[in-house]
Amino acid sequence: MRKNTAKLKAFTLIENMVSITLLLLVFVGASYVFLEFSMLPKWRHQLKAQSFIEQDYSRLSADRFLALKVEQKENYEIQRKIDPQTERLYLVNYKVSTENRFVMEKNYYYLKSE
Amino acid sequence: MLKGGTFIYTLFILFITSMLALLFLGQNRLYSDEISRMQIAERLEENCLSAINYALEIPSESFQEGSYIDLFARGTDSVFIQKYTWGLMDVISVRAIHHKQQRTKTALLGYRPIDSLKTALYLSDRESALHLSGESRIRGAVFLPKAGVKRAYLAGAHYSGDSLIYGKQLPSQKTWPLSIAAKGWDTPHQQAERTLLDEESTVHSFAEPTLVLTETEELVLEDITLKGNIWVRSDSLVEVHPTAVLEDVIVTAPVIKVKSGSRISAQLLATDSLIVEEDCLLHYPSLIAVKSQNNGFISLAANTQVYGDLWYKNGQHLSKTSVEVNIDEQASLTGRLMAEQGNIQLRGKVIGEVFADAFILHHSLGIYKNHLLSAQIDRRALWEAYLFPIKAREKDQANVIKWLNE
Repeated sequence: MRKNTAKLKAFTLIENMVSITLLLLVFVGASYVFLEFSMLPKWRHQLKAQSFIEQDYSRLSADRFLALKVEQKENYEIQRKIDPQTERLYLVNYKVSTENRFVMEKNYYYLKSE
Repeated sequence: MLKGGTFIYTLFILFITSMLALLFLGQNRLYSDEISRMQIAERLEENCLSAINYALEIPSESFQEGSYIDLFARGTDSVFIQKYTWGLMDVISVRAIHHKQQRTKTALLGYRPIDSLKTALYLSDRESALHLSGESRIRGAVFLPKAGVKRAYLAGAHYSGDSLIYGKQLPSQKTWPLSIAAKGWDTPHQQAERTLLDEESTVHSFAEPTLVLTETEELVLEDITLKGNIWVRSDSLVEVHPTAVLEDVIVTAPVIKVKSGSRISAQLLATDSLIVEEDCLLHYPSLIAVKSQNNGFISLAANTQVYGDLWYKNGQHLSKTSVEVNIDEQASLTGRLMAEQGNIQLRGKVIGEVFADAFILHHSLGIYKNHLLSAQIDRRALWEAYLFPIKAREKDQANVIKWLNE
C-alpha cells in the first residue's frame, strides 16, 4: 500500500512538471508566432522603408530633382514627391508601400546649399 | 464536485497560465513601446533639421520671440522655433515635440552672399586711386574709385605682377553695398548675470539663459576654460592668455588683448581697441570687432591667423593719416575685412573680401594714402561653400555654420 502511494506521488510530480513545461512551451511558441506573424513583419517593413528613404534623401541633389519619382526596390514601392516652396527650399514627401499595403510616409524640408 | 487537492491544483495551473499570459502581453507591449519611442526620437531629430531649413528660408518676425509652427500642416509635427542674436552672429534654436518626448537643436548661423562676381575688394570712391607695389596681388572682382588702380614704386620695389587686378574691375560708390546691424552688440538675448567665478572650467549650454560674467576691473583670463553660452564683460580691459580655452563665447570690453600664442574661438567685441599679438590662432567662426566713438583701432600682429570676420566702425570722420586697422606682414584673415570710417594698413593676407574706405601705409619713407605694399587679397582662394559669420546684406543666404552643444 505504501509502495503504491509513493509511486502515485512520484507520478503526480512528473505529471505536474510536464504540464508546466508544456505551458512554458506554449508560451514561447505563442510569443514567437505573435511576433513572427504580427509585430515583426510590421517593424521589418518600417525599418526597410526607413533605410530606403534615408538612402534616397542623403543622395538628393537639387540639380537633378524630379517632381515625382517612383521606384521599386526589393518588393517595395518608394514614391518621392518634391514640391518647391522657395528657390532654395523644397518639401520632400516619401511614401513607401509593399504589396499594395502602406508602410510609411515621411516629410522633410530640404535646403539647397549651393 | 472537485476534490480539495484537485481544486487547488487547478487554481495553481490557472495562476501560472495567467502569469505567463501577463508576461507575454507585457513583453510585447514593452517591445512595441520601445520601438515606437525610437521611431519618434528619430522623427523628432528629422523634424528639428527640417524646421531649421524652413526657418532659414522663410524667416518670420515671430521667430525672434519664439513661436510654434505645425511643420507640415498635418497636425502631427509641432516645432518651436526661435532665432536670436548672439553678439554679432545669429543663433537658431528649434525644439520638436511629440507628447512627452522632445528634441532640441541649436546652431550658429553663417551667411553666403549672392555674389556671382566674387568680390575681392570694394574701395569706396573718395577720389583717390589705389596704388599697388611690390608683391601685392588682388584676385577676384574689384570695385574701385573712378581714379582707378595704378602701379607704384615704393621703398625700392616695383609692382611685380603681370596684371594689376586678376579679375573684373567695376566702379565703386561712396558707400558700401552692405551694412552691419550689430543688434546684439550690447545685450544678450536672455541673461542671468553674475560675477566671475574662480572656477577653472565653466561649460554652459545654449539651452539655458546666457551666463554673463562681469568684472569692473581689469580681467585676466588665464588657466580657465569657458565654453558655450557665456558672455564675459569688463568695464576696462580683458587680457586673454594662451592658457585660456575659449569656445563660442563672447568677450566685450573697451580694450581686449589676446596674448601671443593664444588659440581660441570667440567673438571679441571692443569699444576702443583690440590687439591680437603674434602667433595667435582664432578658429572658425571667430569675430574681431571694434565699434568706437573715438578713433579706436584693431591690430593683428605677425603670424596670427584669424578664421572669421573683422569689423571696424568709427563714429568719427575718417582721419587722414592714422591707422585704424593694422594687419601685419605674415598675418592672415580668412573671411571678410570691413573698416567703416577707418584706414586699413594691410601688409598681410586676406583670403576673402575686403570692404574699405581707405588704405594707408606707414613707412619709414613717409605715409602713403591708398597704397598696398606686398599685400594679398584673394577671393578665389575662399572655398565655394564658405559662410561668413556676419550677415552683411539683406539677401545673404543663411545656413548652419556650427552646431552648438546643448
